[in-house]
Order: sequence, then structure tokens, then C-alpha cells
Amino acid sequence: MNEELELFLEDSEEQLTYMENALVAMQENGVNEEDIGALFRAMHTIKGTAGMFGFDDVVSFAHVAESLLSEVRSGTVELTEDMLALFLLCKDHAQRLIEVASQNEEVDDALRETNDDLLSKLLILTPGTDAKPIQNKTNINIKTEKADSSDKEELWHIGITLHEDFFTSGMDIINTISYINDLGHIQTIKPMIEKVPLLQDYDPIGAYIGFEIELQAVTTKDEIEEVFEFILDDLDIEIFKKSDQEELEEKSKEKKKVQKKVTSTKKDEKPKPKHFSLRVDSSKVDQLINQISEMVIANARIAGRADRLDDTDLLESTTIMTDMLEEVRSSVMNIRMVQVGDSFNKFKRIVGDTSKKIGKDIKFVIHGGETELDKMVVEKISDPIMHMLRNSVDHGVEMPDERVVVGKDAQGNVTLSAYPDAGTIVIEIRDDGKGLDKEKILAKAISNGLVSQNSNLSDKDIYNLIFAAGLSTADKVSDISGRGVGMDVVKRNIEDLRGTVEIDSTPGKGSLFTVRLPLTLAIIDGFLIQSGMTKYIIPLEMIQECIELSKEYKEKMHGNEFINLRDSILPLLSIREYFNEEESQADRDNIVVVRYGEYKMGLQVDELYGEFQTVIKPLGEVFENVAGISGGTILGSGEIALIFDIPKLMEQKIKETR
Amino acid sequence: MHINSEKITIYEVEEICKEFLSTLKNGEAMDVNLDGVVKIDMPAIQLLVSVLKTCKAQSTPFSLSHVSNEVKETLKVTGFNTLFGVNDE
Repeated sequence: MNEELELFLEDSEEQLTYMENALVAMQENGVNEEDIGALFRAMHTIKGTAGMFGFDDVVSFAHVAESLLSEVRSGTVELTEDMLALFLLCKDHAQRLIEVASQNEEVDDALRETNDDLLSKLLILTPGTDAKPIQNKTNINIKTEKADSSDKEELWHIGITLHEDFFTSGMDIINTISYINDLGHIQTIKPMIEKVPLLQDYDPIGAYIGFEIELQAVTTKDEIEEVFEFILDDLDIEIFKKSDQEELEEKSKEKKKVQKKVTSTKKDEKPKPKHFSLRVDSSKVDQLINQISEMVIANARIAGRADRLDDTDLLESTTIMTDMLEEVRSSVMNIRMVQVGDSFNKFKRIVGDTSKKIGKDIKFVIHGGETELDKMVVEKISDPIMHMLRNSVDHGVEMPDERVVVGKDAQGNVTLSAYPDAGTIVIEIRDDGKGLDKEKILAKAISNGLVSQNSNLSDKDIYNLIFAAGLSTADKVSDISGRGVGMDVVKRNIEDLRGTVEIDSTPGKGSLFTVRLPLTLAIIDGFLIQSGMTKYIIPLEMIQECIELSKEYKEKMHGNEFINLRDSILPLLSIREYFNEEESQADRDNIVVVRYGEYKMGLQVDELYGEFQTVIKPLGEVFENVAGISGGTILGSGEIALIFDIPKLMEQKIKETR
Repeated sequence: MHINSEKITIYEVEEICKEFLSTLKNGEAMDVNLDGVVKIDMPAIQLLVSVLKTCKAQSTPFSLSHVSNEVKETLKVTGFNTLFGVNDE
């Protein structure tokens, strides 16, 4: 697949998402101008970009949908509930047409039938169109007569001059010209070749041509301009009615004046800064992050050397360099950050469709859509969230009559929230359904041999058994969930992102899934410590404080593995003992207090070195089963430091305590 | 000169441009044989225009031959059919 097509597909996906978000928002909150505008723009953009690639079926379909939307926008047609549902189907259909076109496949009969059916429905609703069902089974080319455009056919002049860098924009002017033909009938097209140089002075990728087109059509200047919407920055264009001879003459006079003026005024004009968004292949950003990671390591090496040499100037320079690298790193990381709301909005339709299908009435609310997370993490977390949501809808929330019997509103509630917490992003899925059946889960787990009959499990442990492979307590398998092959995959996918997932539930009140994810996957702010002979990194944002394990504390421990820290019990984990490290000669024992979610723990360590920009490097298979280590990093000295997986260490500690 | 490719697009024009330059040095008549070419884009059409203009400047005869229907259609849509003397049969 070539780069342009990939960009088109990415853009289309974005536009289809806008479309769906606008439609679902209107289904929820009622019709409003802003969402109608968003819907129209998305359909219009798809039509325009598909036209650039010659995807005629997409263009024809989007054109009809866009025409109806144009009527809706102008207030001629009222957007009803039924039409919202119809446009949702149109969005799905456009998506399928794009897939087929981009893979160079033929439109099959079934898809053609859907196409014709949807087009008929759209045309019936569009004023001023012949609403006959479409019989044309080949290429569909339907023109709607615009109520607001002039109904008189006129001759239009379109003058185009390509900018010299036009060809490098990747846009195809041939498709654009073909597309003009859809507006009416091109009477003449005259290429302007005067500026094309002779071969010896020729730049093969420079554009030197232009066109004079005469178009006979019932259209408006705006409609013609729309055809060029996506390439307006790459060419000069002139559009006017041939009948407006005066305008033509005026234009030529103006042109002469402007040409004279240009030389004198151009010098005075200051170029205005132009902001635009740039679509970049994510692998290029990844490459940049990798390069910065290497620079961070190299800089740490220089800093280490400067320290050993006690070279003040060099140390000062490395400090400046460290600060600068941190800024660059943070800026680059920011490129990858996206608001989760854009991705979450698609769940509205999934929840809506799923609940409708099984006869449930569910109010779905999203909180914290503005929370930012690495784009890759957002993409990878989408499936697990979808699965958990379906579970809540299918198994969590009761049927309306069951809810009424137990004194609840017939309408159930499912909430999806996101918020940052201690260097992680928390995503919660909460429902007010019947909650999990503890006995049923335990019985199933025992019968599956996942736990023994006599195991002493807390309520939370039992609930979290639903993440074990092959455990589904659903009485009947539905096509929504209940095959028992989902929740273990959910957990594994989340753990692959260095995240955790937990479930809590209250019988009769509902369930809560809590997913915690790291902000980024490449570089973190770490805190360097030593225990025994090994250096370790603790993610800085999980650290609450560092204290000395003084004699007083030790005396009060009475051999227990916890201390009383300001009237609360803090469990301790001795890193030296946990990883079988050698005794150290450190003068003092230190405790690093870490927090993850609602848990706190003290890590007993020997040396505290301070903050360290940590480039996360994966460890090989040897370390795969070492619980509590999530990766490694290279220090300035060339030594390796191991990065703690704090949630895993806490899990181990909790298990040990029991 | 025979264009030995199914398509002439922006990706091929640089190479083909070099071939045209060396062929034109000989001062012989330029017949661009498009046998087998089914796709042509605007950078390629523009290159042919440059070749045509160069031939005219050198008073060398220029012609296009074995033009496929697909290429004819593209030349027609863009209005270059008249310039190259390529019309529907």
C-alpha cells in the first residue's frame, strides 16, 4: 500500500469516527447545529479525498448522503431519529465501500444491494431529487439538484495553474478534473503548456502546466471550489461565469494593477505564522524517541565521567544538557499523547446497540475524556475496554423489569471514566447492576481446578478469578459475551501494556473494573537506588517519600515486617532479602515509600542516589519470570539497573503476608 | 523510443526523462511507442509535452504510437489528445 493511500485510510477512519460521534451525540442529546456541521464536514471530506483516489463508488454514495446533509444543515429537512439511524448505517456502509475500494476489490452483489437500498432511502428524503429506487447496478452516478443553487444551466470558466511543487503533494489533478465533470459537462478543456521547459532544463517532478476549463452546469462557484478544496494550497484557481464579461474584463485590469503593486507591497508584508497539523507515520516518532533515549544514556555517561574527574565545567554542561534533553523528551512524548475521549466516544454506539439488542435500557456516561494517554496505548486498550463494557451491559446490568422488582430505576447505568493518578492513568468501568455472584465464581473456579476447595480467598481475590482463562459464569453463551475466553485475554492485553486490572463488586449494587496504565512506554523519570550490589530504578511518580529506617523504628518492629508511619501501618519489603542480595556496607537503612492505587508499601534499600531519566530497555527471556522486574536501563557508568514493577512487588508482598 | 513499462507515473519520469535526453541528442525523429502502457499520470503527460516542445525546437518530428485506450481516455479527459494528435478511432 502506498503512503498516500495509507494517509487516506487514516484520514477516512478519523472522519468516520467524527461522523459516528456526532450521530451518537445527537441520539443522546438531541439534534444540534454543531454536530450536524461535524457530520456534514466528515461526509464532505470523505467524498473529496475518495475523489482524489478515483474511488467512484465512495464518491457517488457520499455525494448523495452529503446532499441530504446539506439540506439538513440549511434547515430545509428536519433531522429525525430515524434519519440519525439511517446515517449511522450510511457511515458503516461508507466504511465498507472504502475498505473495498482501497483493497482494489469489486463491489459484490450484497454490498451493491445495501448501497442501492441506502441511496433510495437518502434520495426519498432529499428534496428536489427523483426518488426512484436506483436500478443502476454498475457505477452509480447520481446528481441531486440543489434547491439553493441557481436552477439555470450556465457556462463557467475555471482557470487552474499548478504550483511548481504540486506533484510532490501526492494529489492527482486528473481525478480532480474527472470530478469536475460530475458537476455538469466539460465543454472544453485547454491545457496551458507555455511554461513547460525544454527537456534540457526540465525538472521531472516540477509542475509547469495549467488548464482553462469551460464547464456547462447548474452549479455555484462554491460548489466548484469545493472540488478543489483539498488542493487549494497547491494551485492558483480562477472561477467565474462566462456571462460575466464585465467581471472578466475587470479581472484582467485588476491583474495588471496587482502585478505592478506586488513588487512594491511584497517587501512590507510580514509573513504570518501558519499553524497546521501534520500527519506523521508513528514509526518516525518512535525512531525519534529511540534516538533521544540513546542521547539520554550517552549524556548520563558523560555526567558520570565528569563526576569522577570532578570537572566542574563539564558537570555544569551536562546538567544543562540533561535539562534540555528532558524538555525535548517531554515534547516528543507529547506528540504521542492523545485525549482518550476521541477513542471512548465509539463505545457509546457499542453500548447503545448491545443494550438495544438484548432489550435493556442503559444510560452510558463518559467522564474524563480529556485525559491524555500515549496513542499506541489508547489503541491497544480499546479492545479490552470494549470487552469489559460488553460484560457490564450483558451480565452486569439487569433487565428493566428485574431492576424495578429490586427497587432500582428501569434504566441501568454504565460509566466509563479516565483520570491520572500517581504517574498512571486509571480507567474505570462501573455499572449499577446485580454485581458478581461470588459463590458461583468460586464454585466454577473449584470445579475447573483453578483454586482448591480449602483456599482462603478474600472477596476481591474471588472476583478477580474471572480473569482466569476459561472461567465464564454466564448460564447461556450469548454472541455478546459469555464464552469465557475474553477476560483472560483482557488481562493479558492490559499486562502487555505494563498495566493492571482489578475488579470489585457489591452484590445488588454493581461492579467496578479498574484498569491502571503507565503514561508512556519508552522513557520514565526514575529514582536510582542500590540494594546489595545491584542498582534499581523505582518509577519516580510512585514514590511518596524516602525516610531513614532509624533505630527507633527498628526497635518498635519487634521482628515484624512493618513499621508504624505516622499512625498508619506500612508493610516493608526488604529488597536485599527479596532478591537474595549480598549484605551491604551501607551506613544507614532507607525506606522508599511507594504508592500504587490504594496500596502503600515501604521498600527497604541500602543507597539512595536520586532522580534518573530512565530509558526502558526490555530484558531477555531469562528475566521473564522474575516477578517485580519490568525492564532494565543502562546507567552512565555502563552498568545495568533493573526497573521495579511496583504493582507486582506489592502483589507478592500481599501474597506473602497471607 | 519504446517505453518498457505498464505505467508511466511520477515514480518513473526521472528515469524516462534521462532516456529521452540521450535519444534526442541523435537528432532522429522521435516516435514514443506506448505499446503496453495502460496508466499515465500528469507528471508523465507533462514530460511528453516537454519532449514535444524540444522536438519542435529542434525541428525533429514527434509522434506517439500504440496508444492504449486507457491512455487515450486520460489524454482526452485532460485535453491533451489534440496536442498529441491522439483521438478515438
